Amino acid sequence: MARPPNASRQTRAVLGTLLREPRRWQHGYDLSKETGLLSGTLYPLLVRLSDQGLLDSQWREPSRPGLPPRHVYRLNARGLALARQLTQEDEPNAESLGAGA
Amino acid sequence: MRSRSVCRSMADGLAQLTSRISRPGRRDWAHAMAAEQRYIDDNVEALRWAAGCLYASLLTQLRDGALLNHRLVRWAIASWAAYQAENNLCTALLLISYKLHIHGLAALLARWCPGDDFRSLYPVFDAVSSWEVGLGLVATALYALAAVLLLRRRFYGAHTFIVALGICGGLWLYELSKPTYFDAFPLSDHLHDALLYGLEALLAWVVWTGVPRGPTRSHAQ
Repeated sequence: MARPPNASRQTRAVLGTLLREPRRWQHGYDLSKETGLLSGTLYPLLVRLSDQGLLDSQWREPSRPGLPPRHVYRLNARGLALARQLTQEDEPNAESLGAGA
Repeated sequence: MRSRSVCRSMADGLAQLTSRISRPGRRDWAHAMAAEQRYIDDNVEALRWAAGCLYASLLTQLRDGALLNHRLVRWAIASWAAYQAENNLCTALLLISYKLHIHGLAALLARWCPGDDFRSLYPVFDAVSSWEVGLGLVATALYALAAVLLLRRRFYGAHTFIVALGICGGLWLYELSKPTYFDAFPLSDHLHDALLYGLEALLAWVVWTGVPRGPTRSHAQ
């Protein structure tokens, strides 16, 4: 059976991280550190989420002189709704695992 | 002035490469990845990041179906298709010349395609039907056509390549089911063939996913 979109562990990790502080714009490197995903996994995910209209991105002026502008990301309304839904789906699983322990 | 670290230089080079090979529609993302690398203080970490970004860019292009837009990829696949065409043509001509009793030509072709003393393969040749030779020739033509089409940026060359591989793979499995063929070669030869077909199937998958999607499917520039 085909896996539903955005159901992978990595995607859930990114959505979960972005959901923790929904209004904060986050950098790719920060997201990589928080989720433990390498850039080769993280960016295709971000590109896909953006293509699906779940992620907003924008350029920010450099924080230090001599450095380039930086791309930042956060979930939009649709992305937040999906992230909340996936988190709710995960919680019963976590509870049942906890009960079985 | 201290010289820049080799790792940092390599990271910058990979970031530039990522930007250069990215499609116009994805250039923003490539620049984003490259910019992020500049904010990483540790040089080795920056190199790892940049290598991952190059991989991400290629993966995204594969998903977008844009890999065949790269000349190098098209040339690599076309070269392989041309090699397979030559290989199949040689085998088909060898079989035809044997079956038509043109032994001089058969001996010449056997030298052209070295590796086996073809006389020991007479029982195998005898077991090959005309329709199998015909299909081998069809596969030859399709491989050659695929090579030409891919070089001319006609992406239905990808489909031609996959059909040719399907014919050859099917023929190989059919031959393998014949004891005469199976026993004529050592197991290592069969495993080698299986490995080659496996790799070619992987290449076919790359070709298939590499066909640009949408209205520019056949004539994307």
